[in-house]
Amino acid sequence: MPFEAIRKVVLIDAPIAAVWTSVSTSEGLATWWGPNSFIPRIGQSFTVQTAKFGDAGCTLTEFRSPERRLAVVGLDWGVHGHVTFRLKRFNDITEFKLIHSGWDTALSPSDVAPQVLRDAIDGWWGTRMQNLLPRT
Amino acid sequence: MSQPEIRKTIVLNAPIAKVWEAVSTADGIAAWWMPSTFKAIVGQEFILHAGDFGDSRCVVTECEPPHRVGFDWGKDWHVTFELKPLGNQTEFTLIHAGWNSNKVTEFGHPHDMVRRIMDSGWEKIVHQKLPAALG
Repeated sequence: MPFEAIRKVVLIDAPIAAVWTSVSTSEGLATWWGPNSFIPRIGQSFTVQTAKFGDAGCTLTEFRSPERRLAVVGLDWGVHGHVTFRLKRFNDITEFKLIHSGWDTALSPSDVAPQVLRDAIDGWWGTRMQNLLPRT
Repeated sequence: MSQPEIRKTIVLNAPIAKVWEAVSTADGIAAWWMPSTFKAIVGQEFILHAGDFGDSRCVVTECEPPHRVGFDWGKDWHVTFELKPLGNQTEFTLIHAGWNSNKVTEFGHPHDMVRRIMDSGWEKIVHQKLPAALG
């Protein structure tokens, strides 16, 4: 049975255009996720390097720039599952939602308990997302 | 630091009995605000389904038909609906209190930002959705 997706939501005190830059450009993603070779083209493969998951290949599956209130970046992250960044505009505040599904597919029977792994990945994203928040 | 309550007032083209029905029953409230298990009984617990902002536990704290109903929302907030008859019309006031810039919600969101979002949210709810629901 597949495990529930990891969902994390933060409110960012910045307009959606600024947050969009952080999730839709190589430079922006590098500031909080990891060094990468991201190119904003559907079907395009790229790599993201993180301490936790090493150098992992990704494929961009969804790319919707902010029109009206919503924006989305979706990607397959190799064996690590599928990741979606969703932005929603509330005037000058932006809601950032991260959904990480399929994170359990890399588990083998001898691996750590799913809940332990889930908590670890959840916490790891939380730390990464801290870097998305405006410094005060 | 505590922050001012959100307060929105509108004069509705409906008699007070009709407005009371819309603000003191689960079906009525769902038509203009959010789905819930609301029951207008003091001490009654209910759940408010706030979409992306999650489910919240609430408790009815006051109920004076057809003038006033209030409830605690989650750990910090208090919401009051006040009604005043004006002939065939009704003056309705929404008061959303309990804001503190040092606090975060149950879901980890800073009050300061949620207050700004909800201030414009309530504006639309009270001035557009509620009158629309009353027909």
